[in-house]
Amino acid sequence: MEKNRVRIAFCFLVLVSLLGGVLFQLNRPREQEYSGEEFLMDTLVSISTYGTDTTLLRQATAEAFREMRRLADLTDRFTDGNNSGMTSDIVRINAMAGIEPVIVDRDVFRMLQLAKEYYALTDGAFDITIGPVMDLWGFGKPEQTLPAADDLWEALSLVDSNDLILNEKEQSAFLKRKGMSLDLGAVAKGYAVEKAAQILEEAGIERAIINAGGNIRVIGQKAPQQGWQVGIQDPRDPQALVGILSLQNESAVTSGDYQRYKEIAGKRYHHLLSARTGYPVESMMSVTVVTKDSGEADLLSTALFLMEPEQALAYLSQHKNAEAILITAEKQILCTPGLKEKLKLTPGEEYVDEQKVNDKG
Amino acid sequence: MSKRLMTKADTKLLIAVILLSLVAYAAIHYSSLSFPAEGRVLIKAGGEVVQELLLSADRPAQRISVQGKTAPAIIEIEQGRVRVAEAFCPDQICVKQGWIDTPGSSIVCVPNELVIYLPAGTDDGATAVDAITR
Amino acid sequence: MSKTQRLVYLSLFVTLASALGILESALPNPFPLPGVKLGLANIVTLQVLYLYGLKDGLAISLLRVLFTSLFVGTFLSVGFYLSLTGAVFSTLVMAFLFKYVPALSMMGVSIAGAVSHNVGQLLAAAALIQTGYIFYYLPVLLLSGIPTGLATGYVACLSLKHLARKKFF
Repeated sequence: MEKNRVRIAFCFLVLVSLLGGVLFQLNRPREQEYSGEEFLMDTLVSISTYGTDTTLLRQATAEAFREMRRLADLTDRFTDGNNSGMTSDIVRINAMAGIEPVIVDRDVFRMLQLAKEYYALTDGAFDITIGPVMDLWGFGKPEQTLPAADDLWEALSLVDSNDLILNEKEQSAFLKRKGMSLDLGAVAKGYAVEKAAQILEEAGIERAIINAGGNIRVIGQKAPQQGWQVGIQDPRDPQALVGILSLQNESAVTSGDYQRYKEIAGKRYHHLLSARTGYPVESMMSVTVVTKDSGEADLLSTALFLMEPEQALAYLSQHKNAEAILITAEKQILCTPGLKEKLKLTPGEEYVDEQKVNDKG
Repeated sequence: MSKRLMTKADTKLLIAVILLSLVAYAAIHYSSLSFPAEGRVLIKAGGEVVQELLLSADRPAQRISVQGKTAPAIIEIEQGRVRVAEAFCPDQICVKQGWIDTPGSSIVCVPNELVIYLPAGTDDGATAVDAITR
Repeated sequence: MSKTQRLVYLSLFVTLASALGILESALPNPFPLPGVKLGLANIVTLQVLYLYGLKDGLAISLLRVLFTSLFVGTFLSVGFYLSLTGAVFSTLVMAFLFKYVPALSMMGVSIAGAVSHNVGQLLAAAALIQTGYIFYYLPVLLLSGIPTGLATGYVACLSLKHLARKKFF
């Protein structure tokens, strides 16, 4: 009968450990991921949230997308299909150019204010009234000819952010001269992403990544002691990275000459146009800005791209509110010193990694 | 009741299974070194996966037509890589991107709501990033 | 025993197997690896095979998979086809071993059954999802068949001996 007892004891042990395993698994709050994807603002936006409460994740993500959709509708330059019957504020402002001010949504007003601030800060390099010139180039239309010099001159004369009048009390915007038009491509995406991030944070989400076609905003960390790993695309090789950033609660946005371009007579003309010459700026290949606010990152990445590298570095050392990685046309990689902890460079051989640090403090 | 619970044959079987699993382990790890391009490619249109194909090094070239939101697109797959050969979209960004072959990379055609995606393998732990800014 | 008696016993077995299957699906998996199951229903399959042979064993297996999936709501899903393939394959293997390899006790047969159940599921998954990556899990699935096989075999063995003693058959 001893054997029986042993047998019973053995069975009991097995049962208890199985039960223990089951109970353990039942009680462990398991982390879930909830992701959504939508085509918005001319790109694929994906939001991935992490947490233990799936209902919360789902609701917060849905709300974030709702807000992004709302902002997308308000800032669309062209009313084709994506507008849910509501005309975009930008379309209205452009339509009323030279006629009268247009009352706009608070967020749109904020975007315009930011754009004007950066116009001043960058000595006019960054200008959202570049609409007429963008239209002349027709990025997105099949025409394959360079704009005529006269047409370009005329279009450039309509580019001047000083003629964008914002009335804070009325929350209105007015383009003083007929023919002027706004293009919010450099700020709308980042701003929308930042609002989405705010919604997620307010809902209590502690870990998330928003990726709007390369415009990245992360919330929290990937794991304790480890930030989210965000790669920086090599501007000349879509499958390679020049570096990896380790980020927490911040944004990384890139402006590059490879994102949108036209090929005319064998030469590439990209979409980041100088407000002075009307032609694509040739001094940089890509600029990646790292800072908390996605809207600012978006604005700044375009603004810095439109400057000469030395100008850009001077700006960064003066204003210190953001970090950046500049890749010049000569394949030089320049980074701001604040990135030392966060950035690991992994460039191909043809790049010159100059840790050309800003000495001015 | 005094018979042993497990016979000699049982034990032999048990050992055989253990050995078999070790062999399988070795086989898998050896072979994944020589067939790196044994991945998959997922094609999504309008958010739904419409095609899932193997992307292996010795697969003959294929051209597939995929219906996008506005117009069909032609996707080419050969020797472990994939690209959008033709698409009816204004910017042709997807076509200009060319071939992709690294797990984790993707081609997106926004007007057609097409996503061609190479899912990242489980072995890529070392260099996998959570997102790419571009 | 008469045909009716046998039918009744088999019905009881099917119910028991289905109940075990449902119970198993309600419990969170103590082994968080994909494809690793406790295989509690195999306890019944083993017994039926031992007592009644292949035909009945196969019938019980198929019905068990059907009823469990209907109840749990996975009928005709990918998991259903995986379960089906695994169950059929392992039943055939176990029946074969019972008949032609008498040197194996119920424990050994159970191990073989658990292992072949997992392998069968893996093959079905590879066919349905069309990916080579899945074979990555083969070593784990093979090994996990040992403890689960031992556990279910032991229970089957014990309960059979107990039932035999009480002269149910």
